[in-house]
Amino acid sequence: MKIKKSLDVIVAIFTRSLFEYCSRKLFAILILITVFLIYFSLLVGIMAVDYEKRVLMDLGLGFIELMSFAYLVYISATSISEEIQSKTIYLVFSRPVARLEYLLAKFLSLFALAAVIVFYSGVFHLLLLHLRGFLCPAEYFVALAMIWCKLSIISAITLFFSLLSTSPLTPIIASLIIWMGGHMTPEIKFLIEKAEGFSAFVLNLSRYVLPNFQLYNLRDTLQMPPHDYSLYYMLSWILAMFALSGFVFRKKEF
Amino acid sequence: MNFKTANLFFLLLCLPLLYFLPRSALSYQSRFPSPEQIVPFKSSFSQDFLAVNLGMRRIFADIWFVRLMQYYGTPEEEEEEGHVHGPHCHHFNYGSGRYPDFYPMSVHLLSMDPYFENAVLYASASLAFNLERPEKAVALLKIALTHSPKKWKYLSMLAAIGYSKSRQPEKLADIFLDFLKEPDCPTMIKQLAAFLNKKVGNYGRAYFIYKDIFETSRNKYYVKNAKKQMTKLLPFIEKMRKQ
Repeated sequence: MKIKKSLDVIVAIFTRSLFEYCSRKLFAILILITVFLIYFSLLVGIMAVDYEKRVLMDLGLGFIELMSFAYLVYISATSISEEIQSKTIYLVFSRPVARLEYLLAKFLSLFALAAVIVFYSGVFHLLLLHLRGFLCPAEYFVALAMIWCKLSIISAITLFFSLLSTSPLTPIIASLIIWMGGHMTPEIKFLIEKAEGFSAFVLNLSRYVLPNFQLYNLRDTLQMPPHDYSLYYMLSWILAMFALSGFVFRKKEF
Repeated sequence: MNFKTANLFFLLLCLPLLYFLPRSALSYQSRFPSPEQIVPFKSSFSQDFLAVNLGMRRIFADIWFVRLMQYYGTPEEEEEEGHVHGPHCHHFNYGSGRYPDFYPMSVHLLSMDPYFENAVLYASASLAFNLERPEKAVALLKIALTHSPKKWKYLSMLAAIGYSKSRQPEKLADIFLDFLKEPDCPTMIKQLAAFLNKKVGNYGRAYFIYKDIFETSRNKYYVKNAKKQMTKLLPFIEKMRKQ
């Protein structure tokens, strides 16, 4: 009975949050820009002549990832802080809603938002490829799924950072650094060989601490199978970020 | 949930990550060469930086390949005086010319994504057979082979360069036939194969390669040239049929 009640609360907050994220003007603008950029890739594709399919696929996947990243980081950084500022959160907690339930719903809504953006952009991209007479290989769909995994990790991290800071700018900048560093983790070991002293220590630490986004970068290595532990790695990051966010959120005073 | 239980719960949730972080850091091997192995081309540093940091090496390699084709497709300045033409000129002569940036651009592209097979074949074939710089083509293929040592296409291209040096067009034409069996064979290689077959008197084979170019290529110039060559070769084909 208690679990059912708890689930109802999570589903209610989840649907309300997801609806709110998708009904923002910025969301419409983002989708339009993504559609425009994917369409723009047609131009580059035509210039590639016989390699149009490869160029169209690569650019499309790249634009989908970049635009989704931009919107998700913004939403993750502002979703809770905006509710605190607008005092909506007081209304939520005036009812029998546990903080962890609220936080879980927020996390899930962000993952769902990532799925929505990737899905719609992907459908448009596929349509465009189909109109140009290209069929997509199965790896394309795996690459899209992996983009979603990356976005889920970064949105969980951003949400955690947003709880530590009052300004939304800090988590956005932190996420951008982590996003770039996360794509560099395999390359960091080459830099460690060159570095000395404290910088070598920092580089070594970042190699262990930063999320390894290259695990999910099938966009860059199409035709390669995903790593066997990719899914567990993503889940472990999400669980850890949820735990740390829960720890911080429980201490927050409203 | 009391405070201590909650903290224990949060700690437990963090444990899987503590297991996976070192695993990912130690076992993951990037298939790309290290960033310091990226050979810059003119002022490409900022783009290379973005490509590595955003995990977009493949996309940037695509863009560099388009640039390379545009560069090679643009007639050189000396064209009118020295009659040097690119592959898109009216008087098609298989892209001969100087194109001094062709090799550095190709090396840069290859250092971004050494697994871009078609770019390797396109660049090495252009260097070896059109720009008459076979030693550069071999150097390019050697770079590609360090990353994909078992790629038969690269080895065949090396053999083809060897035969072209020893002036054995028949063997060269045979080697290129292997490439034609591949569905994603670059049109430029098909064009070379057709030209060589025509040169050694295999008109039937040359006709069918031109026909394949005509039906599959998206490059208007290659299509136009294939049509022209097919018309030229048709009398020979008919003559052969009658015999």
